[in-house]
Amino acid sequence: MEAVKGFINWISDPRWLFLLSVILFFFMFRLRVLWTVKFGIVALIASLAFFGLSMLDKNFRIISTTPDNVPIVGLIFLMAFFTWLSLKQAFDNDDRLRIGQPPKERTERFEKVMVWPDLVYTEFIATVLLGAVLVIWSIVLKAPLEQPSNPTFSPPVMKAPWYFLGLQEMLVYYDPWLAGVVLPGLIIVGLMAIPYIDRNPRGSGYYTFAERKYEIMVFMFGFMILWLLLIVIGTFLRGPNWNFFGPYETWDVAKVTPMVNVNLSEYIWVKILGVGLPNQWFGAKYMGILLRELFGFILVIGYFTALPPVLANRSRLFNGFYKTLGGARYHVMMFLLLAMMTLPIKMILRWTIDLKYIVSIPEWFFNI
Amino acid sequence: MPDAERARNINTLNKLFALGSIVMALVVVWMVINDSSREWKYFQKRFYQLEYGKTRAALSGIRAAADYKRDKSALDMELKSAEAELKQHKKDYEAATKKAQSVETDRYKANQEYQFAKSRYLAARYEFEAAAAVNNGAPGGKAAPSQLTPKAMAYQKELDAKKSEMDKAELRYMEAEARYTAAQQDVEKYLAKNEAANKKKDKLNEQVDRLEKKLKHVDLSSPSRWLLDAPLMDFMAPSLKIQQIVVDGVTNDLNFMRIPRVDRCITCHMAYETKGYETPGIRQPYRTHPNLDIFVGAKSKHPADRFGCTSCHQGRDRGTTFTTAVHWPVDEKQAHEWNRKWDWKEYEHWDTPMMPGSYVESQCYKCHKSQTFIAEAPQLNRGRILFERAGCYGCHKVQGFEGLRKAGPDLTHLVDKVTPEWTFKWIKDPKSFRPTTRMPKFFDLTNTKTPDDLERNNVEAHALVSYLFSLSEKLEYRMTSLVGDPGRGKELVTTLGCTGCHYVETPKEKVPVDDRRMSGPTLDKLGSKTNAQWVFNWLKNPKQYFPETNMPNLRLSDQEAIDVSSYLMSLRDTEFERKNVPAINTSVLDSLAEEYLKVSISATAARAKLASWSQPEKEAYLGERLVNRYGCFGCHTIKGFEKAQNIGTELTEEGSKNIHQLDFGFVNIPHTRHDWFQQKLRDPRIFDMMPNMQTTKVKRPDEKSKMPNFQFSEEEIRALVTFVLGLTKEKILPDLSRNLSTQESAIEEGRRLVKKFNCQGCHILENQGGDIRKTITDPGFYPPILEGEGEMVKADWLYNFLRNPQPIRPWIKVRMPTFNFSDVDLNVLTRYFAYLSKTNYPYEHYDYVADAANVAAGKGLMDRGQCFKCHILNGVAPPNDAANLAPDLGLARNRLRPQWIVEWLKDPQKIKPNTRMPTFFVEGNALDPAVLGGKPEPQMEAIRDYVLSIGSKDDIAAAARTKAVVKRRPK
Repeated sequence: MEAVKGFINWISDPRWLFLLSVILFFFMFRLRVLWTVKFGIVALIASLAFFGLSMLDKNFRIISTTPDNVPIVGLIFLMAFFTWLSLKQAFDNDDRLRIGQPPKERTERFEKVMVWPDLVYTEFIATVLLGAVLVIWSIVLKAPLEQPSNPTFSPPVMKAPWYFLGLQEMLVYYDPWLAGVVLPGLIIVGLMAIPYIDRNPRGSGYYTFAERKYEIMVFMFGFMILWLLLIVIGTFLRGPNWNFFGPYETWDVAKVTPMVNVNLSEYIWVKILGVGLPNQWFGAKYMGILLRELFGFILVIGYFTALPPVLANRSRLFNGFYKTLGGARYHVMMFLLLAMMTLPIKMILRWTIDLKYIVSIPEWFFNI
Repeated sequence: MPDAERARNINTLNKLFALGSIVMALVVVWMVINDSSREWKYFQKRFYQLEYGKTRAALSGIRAAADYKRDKSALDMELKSAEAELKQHKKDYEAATKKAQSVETDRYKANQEYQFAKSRYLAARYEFEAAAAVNNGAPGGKAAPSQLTPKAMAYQKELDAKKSEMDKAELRYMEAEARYTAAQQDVEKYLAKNEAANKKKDKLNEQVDRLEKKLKHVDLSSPSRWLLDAPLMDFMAPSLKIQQIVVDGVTNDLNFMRIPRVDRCITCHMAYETKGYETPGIRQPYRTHPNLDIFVGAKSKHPADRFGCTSCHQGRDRGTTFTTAVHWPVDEKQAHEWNRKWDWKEYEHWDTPMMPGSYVESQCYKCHKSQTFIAEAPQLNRGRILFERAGCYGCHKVQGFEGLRKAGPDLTHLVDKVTPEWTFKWIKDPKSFRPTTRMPKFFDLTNTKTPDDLERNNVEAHALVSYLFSLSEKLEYRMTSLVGDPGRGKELVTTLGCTGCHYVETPKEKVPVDDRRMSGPTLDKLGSKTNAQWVFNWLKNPKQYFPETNMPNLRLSDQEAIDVSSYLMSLRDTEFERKNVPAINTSVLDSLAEEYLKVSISATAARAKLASWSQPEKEAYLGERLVNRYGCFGCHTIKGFEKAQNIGTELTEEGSKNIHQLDFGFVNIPHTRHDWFQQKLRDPRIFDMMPNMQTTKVKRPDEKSKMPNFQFSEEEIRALVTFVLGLTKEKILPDLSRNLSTQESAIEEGRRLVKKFNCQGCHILENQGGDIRKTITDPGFYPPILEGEGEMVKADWLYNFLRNPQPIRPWIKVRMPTFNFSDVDLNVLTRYFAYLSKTNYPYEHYDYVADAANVAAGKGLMDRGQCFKCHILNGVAPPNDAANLAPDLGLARNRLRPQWIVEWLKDPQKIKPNTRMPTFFVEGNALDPAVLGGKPEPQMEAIRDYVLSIGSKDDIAAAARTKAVVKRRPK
């Protein structure tokens, strides 16, 4: 039992969990068997069993029944259920389309529903039931109020509200101005831009995966992996001092993890070239700093400017995008896509080579 | 509508809706029950039941009393006869009532007419005045003020008319009023007896009525009360409601603002100020506060409505459940019991859980900081004294303890006093030499006791000793050629007054923290510590060796000093002397020195530097680093460390320290402040230990905790923890703090000096002290009591006396020492005595006239009273046992305040309890019925006049005479 717990604790380390999730993510679209009722039931029973058995563990119980965290437990199940539900319908439709049948939605008897009584009555019943659930929730789980804050003392566990935990996780890898301002801004702008970028007319009014492969995968990667997964990690696996703790581990305030991070400039100038940082022999003024960060700038600018045309020329997939979207849309889409991908790239760089910043100019409070 | 158009089955929807409605209804019921069932309501209900029972019992007790029954039946009879009488005169009574009614109607009408007339008059007056204010119409308003416009004159006429109307109406009204009064009296005539009986009955039933009213109030079972208390109905006027005290002066700190405490404790502790809930059978939360005279009571100094509860008890003011009020158990056992009984849980989100009763005194300090002594807080007082005596402030900065002298002796001239060998053994374990010492132990403690550590400790102690000795400077010491007599020395030590501040032998049992005889070190074993020359010079002039010492100069002659020193040198501890000093391990010395060098320079440079040093240089270097590390300079004056900073944590707000900032390590104690403080004082190094408490956590030597072990007793620990818990950051508004008047702060200043110089070691003052009496067998030789000293002596005399003491009671062997007070201290002390006795300071006028006849009468009276059988006069002592002598009356002229002599003669016991002066004017009777009309007052005044006439005007001369008090009149 302890070995199993130990294994789960080990696999829950963000780097493994993230890696595993990414692999599972791309894998799940290929396994048709996942999107059947049978598998759904098995998965539900298995996850409930896992959850129930885990509740026997004190640490797991504490962390999953804290009033703050209960919604996130619900979020895991709801996210899984709705993902399964929509993809099941999508794959079912794909099967139908392949053999020349219309999507299931097209075969339904009613194209429209009467407001009264069908819609209003249904909504009313839902309101009543949801109201009951909310009242029970408020009776059973008390508002987790604490005492007035003390500016001279930071509590060891400091977490943002659950919906911001993804941002807080990003802060581990990025400077606050990027993780807190630029990236959330891009998320909002990007979401608003979707209707203007998406030129694929298919899949309207019915679920399908085959006809909207890339749209669905890109969106779900951003939403499930880069947002929800980070919230789940932030809630259950980040303890005092934002240290990682496995689900069965005690949150020990005193835990210390090794953490020495190195900037790209140091990698190149000191480790590879062995000449020392330019600002040491060139002066810590503009030239020295800019020279020091030269490679970082080349990398960042190259990533955003060189990659889209190169991909459009070399990759058949991106070339296809370029053709269907046109130049302007293609570049906007690529910019947003590349911006989204900076997060996993940065995470992997941090985990593999302890990279701190690609461009690091603390003198000007500018770090990427 | 045909079903075909329905997307959903309406029956299914109906069923779902029915289910949803039932669920919702049940949930609403659950919500209401959940919302209205509150812990505090249960407690309040039970309290009302208790009150109901008590009131019922009291009521039936009164009703059953024989007196009450008798009075009541008598009154009933009286009432009955009055009724009967009224019945007899029924016709007349009814006629009178009728008449009164009709007259009353008249009166009402007349009054109304008068009111109307009056209001018309007032309106007319306004009109007239407004018109009169308008000028004659001439632009610029130059008309004479006396002139009225025609319009105004018309108004004036109108006003006069209205006035006469009003007067007439008033007259009519007064007449009607008079008629009405007469008719009313007529009616009352018949009712007089009845009313008198009813009045008596009301009086008899006063208490019963009050109790009945109360009974109704506390009876929650009546239908109307039940309705008002019912769930959802209890928003109007429920019987059960939150009770609270808003404490404006004590606040919760919300960082950006302070908000008043709202103490809701009394919601459950409802009997907090009601007497009658003290009996042992009654349990919390219904007990009355145990000390209503001082706390909570409306007439006490800390009434509940101003001070609330949490200002002393802590806890969460707004909490209304057992857990959220942050009740805190004293131990694990109670925690379990509470959890079982009240579902108590540790409430983590509150920094100040309730104080355990044993520490509640700590909270006195935040308001009473300005006082050195708080009568009701003995444990806090002890903690504060111990904090000072143990020199905690040497390492830990605490506001209010700045500028105090260092707790330990000056080490500047160490070489004159002790040897390096002794110092080594002393530093390693001070208590092995002197169990009463406050010097703590630094070495071989919990986290430094492995064999390697022990070796290291020896090297450290060696380095410290050789560093301190290399710093110390020899003094020019004088040696006398006289030979000391230890026997006489012993007698001097026991009689001169040394024992007021010192124990000569180590007491067998642990002495209390505030024992005044611990002011100075215990004197035994001195021979094993120091040398005769040092003792001799120390006694002759303590300030030469240690300028800031509190040790006074006893004005010993050379012979006396050498006698005392030869006696003290004979007190030895041969066992301690035999203990050998281990040789210094040079390789450990090298590694230690290198370790410290590497802190500031590179390893290579450190090794090079080390190689260039001789061993003494290495020792001196290491010693200096160690003085820094252990903070020796916190308690001792050491050359070169005059400006060193305190090495310990500042404790000014330690009592409010966040619990997460205390490192509990692996020690299994409850996570509360007081538990941590206790543990820290018991074993300061324990938090460095692994869970087995045997090995140290992985730490570099300089990372280990370094607080020394003071080996405090449990009682001392409790006292100190009480004091430290009192050092909070709470800001109390000035009107709730104890503010001192000018006089009171002058007295406090004096008290501080009295404490510093340990006056109470010998003298009884403010009902305390006189510890030296334990070493004196004959009460006649006790040092004088100083109660009422300011009332007794003149301030200028006291000033001179304290500056340069001269014997007043030459037969007493205990010698008032010369403290070499500064002028500031002398003024503080004289003012202290004056204010303590509520006399004027510094100048005073003595209002008395002494005529020759009075003086003569006084002499006669004093002869009759045989005053000079005990009192010395101008240096000549009467032939009496030394123990029965009394002060020289020749000094009285310059020393005593004239008005005091009369008060003193009246009743000496009142001024100085247990004084040996007899009461001559017993119960206000005269001493001699034949003198001065046999009246006591003039006789006392005559004695006063005589006493003030006999002494020399020259204090010094008088003192010089008394000094040689040798002359004895033959028996």
